[in-house]
Amino acid sequence: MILRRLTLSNIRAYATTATLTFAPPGARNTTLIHGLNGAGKTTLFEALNWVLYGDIVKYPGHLLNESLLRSVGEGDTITGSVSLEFEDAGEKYFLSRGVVGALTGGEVSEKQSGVEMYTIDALGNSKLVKGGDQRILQMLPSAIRTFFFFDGDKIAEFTRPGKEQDRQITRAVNDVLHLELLNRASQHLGDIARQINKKIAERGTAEVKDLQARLERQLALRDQLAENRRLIVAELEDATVRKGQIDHRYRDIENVAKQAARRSQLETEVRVCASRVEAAKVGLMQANLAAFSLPMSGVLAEAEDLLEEKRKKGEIPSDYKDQFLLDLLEHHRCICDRDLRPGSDPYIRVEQLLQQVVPNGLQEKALLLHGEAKRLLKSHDACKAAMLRCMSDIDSAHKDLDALQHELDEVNAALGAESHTDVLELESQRLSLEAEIGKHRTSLGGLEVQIESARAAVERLEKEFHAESQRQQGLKTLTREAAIASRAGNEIAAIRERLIGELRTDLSSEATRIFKAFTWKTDFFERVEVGEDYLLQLFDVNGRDMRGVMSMGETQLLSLAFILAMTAISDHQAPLVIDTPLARLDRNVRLNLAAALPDLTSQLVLFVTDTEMTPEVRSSLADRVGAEYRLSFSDGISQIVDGGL
Amino acid sequence: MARLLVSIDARHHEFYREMAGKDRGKDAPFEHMKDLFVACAAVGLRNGVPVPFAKREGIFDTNAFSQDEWIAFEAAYVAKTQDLEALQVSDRRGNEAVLSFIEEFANAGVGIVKEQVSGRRPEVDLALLLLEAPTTI
Repeated sequence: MILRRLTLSNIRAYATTATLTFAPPGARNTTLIHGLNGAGKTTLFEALNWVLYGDIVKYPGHLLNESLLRSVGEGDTITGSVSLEFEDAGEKYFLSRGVVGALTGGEVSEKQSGVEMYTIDALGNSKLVKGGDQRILQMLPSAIRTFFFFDGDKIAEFTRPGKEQDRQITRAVNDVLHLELLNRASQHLGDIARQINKKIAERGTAEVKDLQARLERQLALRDQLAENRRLIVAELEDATVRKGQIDHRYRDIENVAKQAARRSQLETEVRVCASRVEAAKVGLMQANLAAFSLPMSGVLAEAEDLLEEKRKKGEIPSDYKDQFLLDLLEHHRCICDRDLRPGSDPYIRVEQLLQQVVPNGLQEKALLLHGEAKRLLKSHDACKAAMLRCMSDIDSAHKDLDALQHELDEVNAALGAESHTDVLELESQRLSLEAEIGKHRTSLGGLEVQIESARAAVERLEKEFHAESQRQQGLKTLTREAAIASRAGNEIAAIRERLIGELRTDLSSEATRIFKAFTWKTDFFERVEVGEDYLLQLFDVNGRDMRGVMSMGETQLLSLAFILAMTAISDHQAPLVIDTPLARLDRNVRLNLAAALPDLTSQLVLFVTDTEMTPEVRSSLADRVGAEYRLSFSDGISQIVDGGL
Repeated sequence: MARLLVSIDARHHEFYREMAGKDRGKDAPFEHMKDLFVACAAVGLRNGVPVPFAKREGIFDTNAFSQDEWIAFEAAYVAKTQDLEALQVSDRRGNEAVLSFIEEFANAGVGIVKEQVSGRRPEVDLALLLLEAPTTI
């Protein structure tokens, strides 16, 4: 089956007509439909199931658009429909189902119509197909389609540990292999043989009667033993799972010891690192003090320039010049013989020069200031370097401290959860379970012997019974019939066992292949096995059964691997339509799943939430998406928006 | 150098106590009020506009300044006033002139320091302010 186009009209939140064209098989075989929760993904998923099989799981009796229903007047009707165009075995089909809503006596009621199915020839001519429902079931039986069209709930069904999961898997295997038919056939033939035996006994001699009674008791005993065996196997498996969980708890306890040691180490490291932070802060405070003049570099440079200018002009140092000028004024004559009498121009000039000279008492201070301003300015580069180094130390120490504190918080949280672990109680439970397992194994061993012995006894008694009845006239035909029925029943039972064995092998190998494609711990997990009584088991590389110790994500993945393995071995060609498969998976698994899913089917339709649709998932799927739609929802109306591909 | 009382605007006294006080313990970004005053003065000088006091309040004396700090103040004073007379060590009036000059610049800088040195890591904020870095790490 290849899906081509789905059209909804007035269904749920799709108030008008919405159409979805699916990506065809090929390199880009994936149709991606994404939107927020409540945007209408599940409606599309349900609509697909409804148009094919006529059943609605989530919204029974509520198919029509509610706002249209509210607007309908007394006696009026509104209609809705879902149609699907698809191909199967080279033939094109058009499938449609309708629903009519009416308001009668203030009550809204919906009535669904049957399926209408048409074949479409190359010229586009349609021809009604009678018995459309049956035709669909031939293409993809209802029991099988749940492995092709499924959602998170289906995955969850297989993740619930215990007998319910086993029953689900048993039912699934029976559905795929039509084993129910073989079961019933085998049982029916056995019943026929027993009824004929009774007739023979009624007409037979006392010895025949006695043999039949003994055979009947032996058969009852054999069946009872087989039932006992089934119960013990179930209990043994149950105890094994519980023991696996306790072993896991033990490993946790070992981790607790390691974690406690790590906590102690971390606490020391946090203290050391906190001291580093404090030391770096003190260092920066000191560096800040030393760098007090950094913002003053402008005025210090101005001071330096001013004093430098005065030095260049000879205004500092001043004492020699000062003395020289005073001598000139005292002797009223220069060495060049110029007259310097008071009041003369040269005298006035010298007096002015004397006034400009820095007073003798200040020259040292001025020179000191000049040198110190220069020194302070020179020290600025070193100050800056010291401050930056200290800031970097603080930053680095804070980062280390944050990382250590984060790890310490995690360890504390982990240890907090384990603080109430009662090791003795756990040990007691473990011993008790080991004893239980040992007891079951012993019982099982004993039962196997008894069953074998009962089978041999049944076989022997049957032969004796048939030999004895053969000797009696009028019972030959009946005896032959009983022998044939018994043999045929046994043969069918043997065929059934062989089929189950083969299926388990195929299923195990396919599920292993798929699981390994999904998980990122490929070196850790070795194989998936569908065990006796269809128990789904996962083994690590050391051969340990991982049931009960897997994370929720791994359990989901195992279920998904099983579901997909079922589709692979079911021998039916159909697209995989999956609603919200990635929600509970962690990042690595999500990416692996997104990358691997398109290869597991000829056509893939994925409904994902915006949360699941991370950029990494989108990138992982990018080369495989042939059609993409975004679902928008506003004012109570869902719309399909073409994603642009 | 004459021993003089260093004053700040009375309305900033609480801030001085908070930033350098013992109440804040080892988290205080300044060990002494003098250190905060010096930082305020330096930042105020960088901005170049002195702010006169509304109400003076003496908080420590000039002996608290290191030699480098006082020299830097004198250099700033000389650069801005070109008055070398005030450098006379024995001249109390000269010291007073330098001090009142610096006090007004410290008064100008205190607002900037108050605004920028208020995060969880005040020593880093102060370093960035001194370095004139625009962002915090």
